[in-house]
Amino acid sequence: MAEASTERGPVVIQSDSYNKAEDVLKEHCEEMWKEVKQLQAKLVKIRHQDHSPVTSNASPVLDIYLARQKRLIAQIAVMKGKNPSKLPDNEVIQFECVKEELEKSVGGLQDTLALVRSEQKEVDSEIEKEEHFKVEVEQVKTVLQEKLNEALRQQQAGDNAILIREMQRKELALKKHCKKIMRHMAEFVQKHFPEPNESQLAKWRKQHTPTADDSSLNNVEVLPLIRILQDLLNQCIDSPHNAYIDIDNRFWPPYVELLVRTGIALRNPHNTQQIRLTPFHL
Amino acid sequence: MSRDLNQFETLRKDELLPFNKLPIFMQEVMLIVGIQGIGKHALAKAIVESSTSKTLQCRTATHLPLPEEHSAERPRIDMVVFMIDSRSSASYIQVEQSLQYINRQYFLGKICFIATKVPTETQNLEVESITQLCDDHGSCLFWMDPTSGADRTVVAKKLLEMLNISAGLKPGITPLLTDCTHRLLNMQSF
Repeated sequence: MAEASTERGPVVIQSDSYNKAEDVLKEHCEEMWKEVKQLQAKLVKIRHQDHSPVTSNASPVLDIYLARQKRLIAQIAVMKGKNPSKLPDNEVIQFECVKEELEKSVGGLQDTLALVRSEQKEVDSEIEKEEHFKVEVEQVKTVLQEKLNEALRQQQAGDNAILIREMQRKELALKKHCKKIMRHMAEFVQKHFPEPNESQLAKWRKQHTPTADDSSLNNVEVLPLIRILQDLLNQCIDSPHNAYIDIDNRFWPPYVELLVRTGIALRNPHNTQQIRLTPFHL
Repeated sequence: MSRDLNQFETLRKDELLPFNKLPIFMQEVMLIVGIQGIGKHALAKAIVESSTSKTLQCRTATHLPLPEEHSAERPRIDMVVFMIDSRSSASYIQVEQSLQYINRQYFLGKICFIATKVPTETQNLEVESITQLCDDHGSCLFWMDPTSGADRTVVAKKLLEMLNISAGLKPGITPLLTDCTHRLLNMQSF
């Protein structure tokens, strides 16, 4: 113990002085313990002499308050007569006590420092985040301001030429896009759904014609699927109030059936000879 | 008179005394008295858990006086807590009887009562009778819900504070000093 303290302590204290201090403290403790023992013996003795009943009546509150008063008066007297206790008059003990106190307070302060540092870190990161956010918001603000300025300028100029040109440009783009889609669709349909050849037609006619010389079916040109779709689309756009088209001999029934089955076309519930395009755009 | 004295002597023999034994270094001992199943051990556990010192003892008893055997090994008891179950009048009677075996010295701030908080329909004891008992013995009363852990922790912390003072581990503060302030607060709240 002595060696350790000579190494770390700024004040070099010899081991014999440590032993002396220990002896002083031990003596002090012994004295105190003796005093405690004496006081306890005294208390036990007093109890043997004390002959007041424990509870003299139903409610012991009076007894208790009297005892309390007595005790409080005694305590006040003791407090008044007591000198503040001080450390034994030994340099080593005083040094160690002060050191302990200081170490305790240093430990507490270090803990506080760590806490404050971590809090500071948190606050710093928050500030950084907020600043980043601020920059973003400012960018948005400048862009919006520019747009607003543009709009105001146009309004002030009073001509809608730019607007019209813009719309024309958009229309053109749309038309181009539409054409492209239509072309794609035509390619797709022609590739996968070609016009029925003669043998297929003949076979079908044989099955569905009651009389072999029915001219109505024999000499009719069959419409390709793309034409049916085109008619459906046109009807849908041109007369939305009555989008149905009549099915006549030119429509090859398997195609009509295909369109209805796949949900591309709808039959008129009142007239089976009419179909319309499913209103996808609604 | 002689009969009185005899009875008195018998009482004195089993009486619980605060200073009949020498204290043990840095040791604090609490005694919890209450009928079986009131939650003495749960409270004791809560007290030990909220304590930072390693030399805390919580002893429990259903009633006083404490049995004579092992009384030599029993440490000095620094504080006594009485638990009253609001549902059973038996617990009230038992506490009342146990109070006879407590030395008057304990009533100078080393005693405390705990009554259980129960729903009104199951309450068997009048609140007035419980508060009257505490007032008669000049001690403070805590209400505690035996099923609530949070309640128990709060009461345990208060008891621990009182125990520290009763055991003399807080220099400059005496149990009587704190008790005086407690009474003042209690009167204001009533």
